[in-house]
Amino acid sequence: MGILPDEIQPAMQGVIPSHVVTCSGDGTPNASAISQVYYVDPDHVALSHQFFNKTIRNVRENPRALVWVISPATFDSWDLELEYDHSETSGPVFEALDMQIEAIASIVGLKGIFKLRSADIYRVISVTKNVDERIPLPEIDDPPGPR
Amino acid sequence: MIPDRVVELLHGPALSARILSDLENNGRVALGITLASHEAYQLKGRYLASRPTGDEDIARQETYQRKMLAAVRQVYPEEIARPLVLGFAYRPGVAITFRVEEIFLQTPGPGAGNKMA
Repeated sequence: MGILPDEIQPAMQGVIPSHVVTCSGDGTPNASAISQVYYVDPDHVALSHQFFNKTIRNVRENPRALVWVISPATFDSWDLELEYDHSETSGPVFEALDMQIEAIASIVGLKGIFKLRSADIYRVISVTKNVDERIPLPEIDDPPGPR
Repeated sequence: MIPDRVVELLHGPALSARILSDLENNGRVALGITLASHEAYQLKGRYLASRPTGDEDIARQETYQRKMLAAVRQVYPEEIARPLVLGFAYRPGVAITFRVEEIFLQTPGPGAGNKMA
């Protein structure tokens, strides 16, 4: 049995962008939006290496990362603590991620700008569901004031 | 009145304890800001202080939510835009201030990562 729960998989389909936070060797943090956190298996995810070079440099110095993902089905969100394992520039995970990135780029009008350099594979160290972050769906009201 | 180069961000309850613990230990801040258009920036700086949010902060958050909902509706269908924007809990909340030392462009494209200030 892996560390990632089945219910997290919709949060890894690239519908809502995720965020990744890393730290350099001297402890300087870096935050970046990322198109997709890709579900590899119950213990591993892949992050797309496109152009967030500071993230790449940081994980080579300090292999820990934290990503935030949110489900477009339930709007539950999770924090995943990760450790960088290796990069893949071919194979099924790279091909699948490349296809997803291309689709996302096309949808958001950035086709040709998103170019996958590698699928970076991370081991999942911990998973935390952010239970206090969201208002339950039935209780969501329109905001006060003029629309 | 917030001094020049000092940013105040308002955060909900879920992760506040851990964020504040990290800020007390390290003091360094990286804040990513992304518009629905994918225009994006990152502010880096030093943690200054935190305080519980009050009525004025909540009013600012509600104003922000209305603007955010209008922007997100341009990108996502209503069944995603509405719960995505309105579903964040922010009562109670915490206001975190930090001094901005560097600003980076993060909009996807050739200039991503460039230091702006």
